[in-house]
Formats: sequence, structure tokens, C-alpha cells
Amino acid sequence: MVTLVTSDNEKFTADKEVAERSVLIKNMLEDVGESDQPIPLPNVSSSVLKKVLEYCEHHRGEPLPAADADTTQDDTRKRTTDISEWDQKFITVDQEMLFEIILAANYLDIKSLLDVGCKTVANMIKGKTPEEIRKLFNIVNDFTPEEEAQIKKENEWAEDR
Amino acid sequence: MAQYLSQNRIEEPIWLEPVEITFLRMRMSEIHCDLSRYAEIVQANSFLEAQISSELRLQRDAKFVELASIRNILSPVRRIPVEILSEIFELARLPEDGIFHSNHTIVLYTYNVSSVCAAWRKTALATPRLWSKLCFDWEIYTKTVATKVEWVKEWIDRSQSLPLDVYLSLRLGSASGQFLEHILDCHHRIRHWM
Repeated sequence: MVTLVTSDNEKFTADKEVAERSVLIKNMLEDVGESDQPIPLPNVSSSVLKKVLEYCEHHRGEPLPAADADTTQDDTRKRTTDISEWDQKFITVDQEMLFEIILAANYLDIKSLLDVGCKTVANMIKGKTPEEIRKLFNIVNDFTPEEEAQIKKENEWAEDR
Repeated sequence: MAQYLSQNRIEEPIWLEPVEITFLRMRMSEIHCDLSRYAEIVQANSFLEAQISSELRLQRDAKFVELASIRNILSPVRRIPVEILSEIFELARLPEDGIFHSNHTIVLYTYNVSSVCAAWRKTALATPRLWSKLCFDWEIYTKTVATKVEWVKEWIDRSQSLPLDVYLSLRLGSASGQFLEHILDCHHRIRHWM
């Protein structure tokens, strides 16, 4: 078993096999060797780690992506934003939690979870206008007048159909 | 936090300490209370509306602006690092079946994500892979092809030196000739042509 300590000082225990789905934790465990020392995770809160461990537990035993497999570099293979049913249900959370999960997956180096998070946000954006995206995320339009003019021109071209 | 509130433009991901997030959330609650109070005053003094409304409206509008600014700073998507945001942009413009074809509206998708805010535009323009695919169907963008094609050059320039994947369906004509010229200027970079 592995003990993990979150940013809000909560302790979680998880099977080594489950915790090691995180490359960061796996490397840390290798560094400390055979030790009961808790692993500090100062960038992950307890509510987020709970979700992350739920994901890792569900996907326990599944093959991990190769260390050098950089999905963004392979442009020739067919990619979609499809998400499995379980993952979809798992990631149906509010925006705050969704982006916290993405940040945690990035920090903990759990590629498959990061992928699920990114695909979810991509699916939220898909087919939306810039104004709809701003509303969705509470983002303010902060373009300069020059940028606005350029964007207007681009949008005229893109929407001229 | 102060720098985010004072600047009228955000170009980088935002990182806030938990205490700053708490402060901003409290400020939001205060503003919501103020806005409710304004609404009550206007309702209670409806006969004086013409007299009081302009000043109140100014105050209320200022609160709305502050509220939008705080929401903007607190938006969870603002915390996402640039490399993850560019990955999200790439995913967002994938065809449903994963197969690119000329009538996939990649031009619209790509321009949309680059037209949201300064930070998103900066990320989109700094992601050459976003511009290394071009799907274009004459039947969809008829007027565009017939009038202005210079955007094609700009599109390809944004892909920097990456290999290009081009999916075209054009009708013969002078404008489509110009369109093709812009693409063929970079023929040595074309990896996929359909």
C-alpha cells in the first residue's frame, strides 16, 4: 500500500498498482525505494485526489501508454474525441472539478486521464461560436481594436457560406 | 491577483493562491448583495425611476463590469497551461469520425477558438499544428473563394514549417487558381493531398 498526502493534509492509502498509474508517483516510489514514507502531493487537493484514485482504480491493470508516446506528435493516425461510457460518467462534474482533474492528471502524469479531460473540454467547445464559448467559461473578450478588426475579417471569410 | 484585476487583458494562464480565490469569491458575494439592493431600491422607488435610475444604473453597470472581471479571473479554464490548451484546440477541430475530408469545417472551428480572447488567440497562433491541416470545399465557401483567397496564405504561414495536410474540393476558375497557387507555393511541405 502507498500513502499519499494532499495539499489540505488529508492522507489516502492506495494499492501500489493503482497509485503507480501516475508516472510521477511511480518515479517517486522508485526514488524512495522500500519505504513506508508518505508521498506528498502539494498540488492536489483531497477532493480531486479522491476522483483521481477512483479513475486509477477503475482502470487498474490496463496497459499504460509507453513513456515516449507523445500523442501530439503523431499526426497521421486517426483521432476522435470519443470517450468510453464509464469515463464519460466519471468526468461529468462541474467545471471547477473538471479543470482541477485536468491539472492533477497533468501534474501526476496520468496520460489517459489527461486525455479524457481534454476531450471533454474539446467536446464542450465543438461547434460553438466565440461568444458561446465566452459565456460557457465566463471569459471576457479582451481583444484590442486592431485584433477585433483582424478577427472580424477572419470570421467573414470563415462564415461566408 | 491585483495585476489580473488591474490589467484589461490576460494573455497567460492565471495562477491564484487559495487565499486569493477565497477573497475574490467573497468580493463576488458582496457584489451580488449590492446588485440585489439596487434592484430593491429601483423597485421601491419606481415613481422616482427617471430621477434615480441614471446614477443607479451607472453604479450597477460598474458592479456588473467588476463581477465579469472577477468571474473571468476565477474561470477554471484560465488555469490551464498553454500546452494543454493547444491540445484541446486540436481535439476540438477533429471530425466526428476522425477522418478529415474537404467538407469538414476546420476553417470555422479554428477561427472560432482563436477568436475567444487574447490568451486563446495567443495560444492558437503559437500552435502551428492547428494550421497545418486545411479542409476546403468550394461548395461550402463559394463566396469566399470567389472574392478573397489571401487568408489561405496567412493560414499556411501560421503552420510555420510543418508538413501540410490538404483536403480540397475546388471548382475550376481564376479564384480557385489563385487559391491553389498559395498552397502550391509550399508544395514541398505537402504531406497529404486529397
